[in-house]
Amino acid sequence: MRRIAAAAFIVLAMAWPSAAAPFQTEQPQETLVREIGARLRCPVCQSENILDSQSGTAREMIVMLREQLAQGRTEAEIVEYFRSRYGDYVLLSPPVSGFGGIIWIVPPILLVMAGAAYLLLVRRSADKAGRVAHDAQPHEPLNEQSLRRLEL
Amino acid sequence: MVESLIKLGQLATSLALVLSLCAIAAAVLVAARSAPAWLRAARNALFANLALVAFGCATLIWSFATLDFSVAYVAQNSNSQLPMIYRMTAMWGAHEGSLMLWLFYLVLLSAIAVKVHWKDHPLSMPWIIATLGAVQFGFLAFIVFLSNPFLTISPALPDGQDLNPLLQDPGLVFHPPVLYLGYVGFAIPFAFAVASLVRTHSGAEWVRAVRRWTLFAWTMLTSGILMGGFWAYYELGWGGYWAWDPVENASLMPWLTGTALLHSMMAQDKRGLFRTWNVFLVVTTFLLTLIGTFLVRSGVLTSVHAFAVDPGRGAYMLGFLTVTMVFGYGLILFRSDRLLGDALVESPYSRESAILANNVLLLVAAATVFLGTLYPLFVEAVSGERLSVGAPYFNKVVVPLMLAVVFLLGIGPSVPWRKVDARRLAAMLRKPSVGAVLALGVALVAGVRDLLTLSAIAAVAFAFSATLTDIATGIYARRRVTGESWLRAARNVLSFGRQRFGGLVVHLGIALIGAGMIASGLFQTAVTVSMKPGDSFELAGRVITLREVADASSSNYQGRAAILSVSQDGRPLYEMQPEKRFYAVRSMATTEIAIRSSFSGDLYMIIGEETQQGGVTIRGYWNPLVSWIWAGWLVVACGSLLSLSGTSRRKVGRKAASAVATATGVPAE
Repeated sequence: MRRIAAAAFIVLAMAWPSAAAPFQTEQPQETLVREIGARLRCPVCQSENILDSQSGTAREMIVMLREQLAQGRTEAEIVEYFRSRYGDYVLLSPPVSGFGGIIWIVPPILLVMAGAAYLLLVRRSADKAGRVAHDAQPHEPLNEQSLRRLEL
Repeated sequence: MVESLIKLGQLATSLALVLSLCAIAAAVLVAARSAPAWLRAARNALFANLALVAFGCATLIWSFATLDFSVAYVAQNSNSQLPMIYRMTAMWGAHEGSLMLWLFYLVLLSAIAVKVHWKDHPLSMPWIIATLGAVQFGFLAFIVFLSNPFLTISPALPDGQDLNPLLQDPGLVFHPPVLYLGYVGFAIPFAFAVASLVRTHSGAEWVRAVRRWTLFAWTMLTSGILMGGFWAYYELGWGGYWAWDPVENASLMPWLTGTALLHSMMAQDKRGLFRTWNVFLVVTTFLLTLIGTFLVRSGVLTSVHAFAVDPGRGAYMLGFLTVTMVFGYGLILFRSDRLLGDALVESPYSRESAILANNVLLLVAAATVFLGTLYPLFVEAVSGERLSVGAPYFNKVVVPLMLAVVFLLGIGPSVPWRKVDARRLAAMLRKPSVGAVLALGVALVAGVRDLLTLSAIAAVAFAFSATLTDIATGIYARRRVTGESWLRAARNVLSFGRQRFGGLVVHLGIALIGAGMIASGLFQTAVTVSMKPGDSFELAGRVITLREVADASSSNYQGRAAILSVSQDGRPLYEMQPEKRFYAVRSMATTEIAIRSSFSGDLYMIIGEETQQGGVTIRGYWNPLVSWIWAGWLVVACGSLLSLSGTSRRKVGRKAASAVATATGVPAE
């Protein structure tokens, strides 16, 4: 067990310097540019955000984004600005209001329903199984054959 | 002569269409009144279809190889400047040819499945053949009447329009064929499930017969998806491998339900559970592979209006899907009363309960991806309003579900079937929990505070250490009983328990992929700099200097390359050379990314615009642990191979039983 813990530690320790790096190299404003840019769709591309896109429109939008950040606007204000210019289409995560609402409501409802079905099924059949008496068998000592049956 | 060859290909394919109908008719006839000669005829029709379709594909590839521009499809997708290898792979570069590839796989796998299972499943065989024949008919009719790659144009064009430059990459040689093999692989379990439903034999026989087919299809689908990611990473140049693009989602949906199927089939095999659920999953997965193929190939994903460009095709695809769906789900509803088994999930602390929970999560994830991919199309068709559902949405909704699945992946294989004492379960999970806690500690010290990131790290670490513990426990148990050396015990455990340990190795690979995705997805660093020769910038502890911008043209494109030298602590390491290419024939530009991979991460360089003053924009990424994803894929492939190579449990049992019988003289049953 300790060995496993050690192995896990080594693996993570090796991953760690690279994981720590991003926080120092980027200027705070560029981090914000990336955060907001990842939420905005390039209007002329096929499902690319404005950071990844190589198109002129996307680059102009990035320039606008930087300007607005430099003017001290908040993230919400900037997103709203692009939304008013290009419509809901520009938001890669659809708004909760209007048509986009469905998309946010359905998965949680599904999860709750499926979760309830799971609990109900397990509970009900566990009850039924509880009433069926089990004939307990004593364990035989393990040998080559029983190991194979156990797939060991 | 060449023209007549493509006509022969067309003829062969049309003949296959007729034969698929004959196969269905003969097979149904056999089922109605037992007539073995007709069943052989139906089987031979499927065999003949393999020869005919293979010939059809061969004529098409031959037309590409010889650059016969009198064939419309060749003229649209190749060019005399195109290197030979891409001429051959151009066959599946566009709509018509890729459907032809789909069809080829279908007739190939049908023939193999019928040949392999001919003796074992004599009573199901008519229905298996009829189902496979019907699917073949569906694709053949589409290809012959609506999407014909054999059409010729007269007079022949002097030169072709060239293959889409993005597809001129080794990635295209592998990604679509492997992905399609995964898609088509699910047709075989589908046929077996239909046969078992029609015959109302919903026991474990069909599940056992298709275990390997399902695992094979799943492995190919997984590989195809990852190869697609690999290709996107190397070719498209946005620094990532997965963008939640509708085209990607289309392949993810059958993967999610296929993964659920792979697990819940075990519960039916070993415990006789989830019969209805399994046939539902098979039908759903097969439908999703059809939807995936059609979505990507119809162009409807770019815009609903693409559908209207060729209404015949669109209507046919919808019709085919509807018929398959009504037939598949209808059959399940019709037979639902016969599908109930008497086995029960006895306790929430059991393997079957873990599998059920895994299924619930995977299915909700699949439904979410389905909704997120198709809902925008629906809204646009209904109201004309355009909506985007992209990465930020899916990351928020699907990623947490998948994290729960990864967490369960750690628990599931440790929990025994039927039930286990809650206290014993807790004891079993203590070791992996230590792994998770350690990882969490490291992440917290590193300054990670985001809740989702922390739970992702914990889940992956838990799954990884739980899987390792499971493997180690197996080896330890065997060693204790047999007194073998560690190495020998490990070897024996791996070779005797191929199904179980193959599965564990796959899980290990998935955990590695998960670690790679978390690190590269959440800890990526990106820099965009405008530089002149001699300028340098720093990224992930390395100093990158622009030496010059040079010409890098080739026979079929003009190119510009930035030559960058990378050094660390004043020590020069290597050179990187991102390029930009312009393909004159299609007047299309592409970027060739320069990547330097290492264990801890990838340095990823893209060349941007050049300025008049001899400067250039360089975009650099540091993508931590990306290579773990590809390494994880190798581990998954090895695990799958191990599991596929194992004899089935039933056979081992039978062998062991007969060994006992001969040894003691007592009858086996």
